Amino acid sequence: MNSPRAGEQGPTPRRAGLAFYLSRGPSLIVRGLFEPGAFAHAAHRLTGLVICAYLLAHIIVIGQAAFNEQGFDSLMRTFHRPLFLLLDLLLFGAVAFHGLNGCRLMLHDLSIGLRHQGRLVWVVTAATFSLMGWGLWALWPELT
Amino acid sequence: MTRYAPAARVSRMPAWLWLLQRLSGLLILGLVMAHMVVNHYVDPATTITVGYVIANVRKLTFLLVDSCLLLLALFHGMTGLRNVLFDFVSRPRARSLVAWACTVVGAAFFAFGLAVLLTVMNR
Amino acid sequence: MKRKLRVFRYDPEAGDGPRFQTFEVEAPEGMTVLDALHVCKEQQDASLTYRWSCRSFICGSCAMTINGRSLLACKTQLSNLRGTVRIEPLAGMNVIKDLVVDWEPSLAAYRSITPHLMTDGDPPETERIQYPGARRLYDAAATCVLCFACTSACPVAWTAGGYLGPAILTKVARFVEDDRDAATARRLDEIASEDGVWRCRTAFRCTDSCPKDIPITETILRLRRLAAARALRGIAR
Repeated sequence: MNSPRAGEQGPTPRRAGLAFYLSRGPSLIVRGLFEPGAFAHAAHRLTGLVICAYLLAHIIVIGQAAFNEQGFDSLMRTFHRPLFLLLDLLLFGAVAFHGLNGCRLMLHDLSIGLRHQGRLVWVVTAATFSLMGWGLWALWPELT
Repeated sequence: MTRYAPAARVSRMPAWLWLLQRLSGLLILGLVMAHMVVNHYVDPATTITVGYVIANVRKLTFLLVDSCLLLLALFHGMTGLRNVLFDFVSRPRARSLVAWACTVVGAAFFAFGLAVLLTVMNR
Repeated sequence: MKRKLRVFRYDPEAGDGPRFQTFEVEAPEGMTVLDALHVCKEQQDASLTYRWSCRSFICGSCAMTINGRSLLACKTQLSNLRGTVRIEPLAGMNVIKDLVVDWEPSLAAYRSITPHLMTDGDPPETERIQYPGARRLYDAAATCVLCFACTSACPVAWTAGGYLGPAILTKVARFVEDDRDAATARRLDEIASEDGVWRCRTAFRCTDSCPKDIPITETILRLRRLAAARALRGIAR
């Protein structure tokens, strides 16, 4: 390929198609999972979006307490079933991860712990699972 | 001061959003964990009913915590959503639309939530 | 010892690809990925196209994605890679041909940050004095060879919107932290836009991929604190 001289137009680059990038993507994604910083970035984003969607739904559901009392009581009885308690536990885990990872990001913003970045990500992940374990223990009587 | 011409006028909005996102996140962390633990994990057998909600909202701590959480969580969530959407939208007009939509949705849900709290408080 | 290479091939003008082509090379000790590509081109397929120049990781030409990581081909030894080596162009950039990508958007971003020293007052009669302590402050950032491996590894740079990228922000830091430069205020304004320093998500992939071992994330975060101080308190420096 000849590089264009001043004033000349080089060859027009064309993007390799979406299908091909999608096929290359998996190797980058799999690689990314083993890099703590990239894993934390993806998980922080995913938990953030899930929590945001839940927040909006939650406000509407709790709002029923003010405007639709019978409906509210029956909704709350449904949400007390084991399936929903488990989903609530997952949400608890998502909030824990998002919050703890957020704290890690704030420390890094102050240039604290940059050398231990990888280890801190796994500490946050371990803490999240510990909290979920505690939650499971606390909920156990209700689940069985 | 330098004798070089300054760059084009820059908005201070991204800087403020960056700072407030972190401050609100820190405050939310404590409040939301308390909110979830008190309502679900301290006494898991409690099924939440309208009566439970009324009794709690009458307590000042609950009212304060819930209102703060409503404001901070909506701000933090909508700002986060805006940032994620900005990653996929690049044209200035489209970005303005996204920012405006996030603000409106946040404000609407806040107004609704506040109305709910005030209504329940007065039962 | 024989090694297999799976190399990305794409020639839009000839309508060939995109596809992968497998080469097999005899790999003596110390052979780099660039050496292996030379063997493939000279002995097996002369149409294989890639950028290279110095072969000693100082020019930054041969950055490419090797086994999923953004690395310099001349610095990566085959003995450090396991299995079939997968060689692709830098991620997140348009492909011109085979392993050659379009650097123009990155170079345009580079030009936008005024990448030359802007000094105050009249030039001195002899050289400008700079003490070693002052030089050390921007030593790491000055080592950058603009290979764009970091920008290609950054998950934010893969998305839309023209994020400046770690390489460009490191260059800005190189000047901001240089005590001979007098245009800090202007430089901080240049990176204060929505697509500037605020879009860093602290994913650390840039620091992991830098062939010059520059602590890029740390540099960007320091720069961001300066930009925040300027924006939030209106400090003119």
